[in-house]
Amino acid sequence: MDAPLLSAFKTILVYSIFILASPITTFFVSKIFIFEGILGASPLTSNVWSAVFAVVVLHIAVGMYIYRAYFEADRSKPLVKTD
Amino acid sequence: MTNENPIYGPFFGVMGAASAIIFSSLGAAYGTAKSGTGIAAMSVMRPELIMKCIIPVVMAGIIAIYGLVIAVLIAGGIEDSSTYSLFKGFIHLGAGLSVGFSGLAAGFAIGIVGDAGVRGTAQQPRLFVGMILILIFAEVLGLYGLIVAIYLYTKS
Repeated sequence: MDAPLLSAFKTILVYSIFILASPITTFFVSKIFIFEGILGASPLTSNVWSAVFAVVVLHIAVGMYIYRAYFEADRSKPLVKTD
Repeated sequence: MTNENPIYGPFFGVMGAASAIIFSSLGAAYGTAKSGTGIAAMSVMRPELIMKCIIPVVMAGIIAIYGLVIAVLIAGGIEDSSTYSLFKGFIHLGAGLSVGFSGLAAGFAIGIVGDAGVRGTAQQPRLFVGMILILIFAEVLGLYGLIVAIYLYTKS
């Protein structure tokens, strides 16, 4: 009983950290390094596009979690029952 | 200090940043708590469905991130009242309120749908696809507020 529970917990923990950290990291990294550093955009432009990037990355992360939960949970179900 | 740059100009911007995160977090907290009670009731009988049924909680958390993004944007734009016009303050207040109240509404919807959805998924697993679709439609209500807030912010 412990092994599937632990693996599910690990998966959820990794995805939760990814979902919470990725938009914030994307916002500041793209703002400071890409838009203001490389492209030299104005603060307003870099803020807005970094926010858009952060939200897009956030939705990609959530889509990955839903995909994993939808398909992986089905795959691990017989494993739980054989135990 | 002129008529365009009054001393109380930044007040509106600060209130915009605060209301963005306060109201989105209110909605996200309601969504998390309401769908959390559903998950707790459901997983007593079907603990293998927990991974699937955490999705309403994750989606409620996203609502708070919308508010966080706009609050950070507005907070980055707030300046001393000598360079911060009253118009900018109004724009920032409007941006904060639009993402805040949309997030509040979306969080309420996610909470109620998530609660009923995970309880139903435990009895009929085919409901899961429907629950995800309804949750996505609840989520985009918050996204609409975010889009309007970003568009308003570009006017400042």
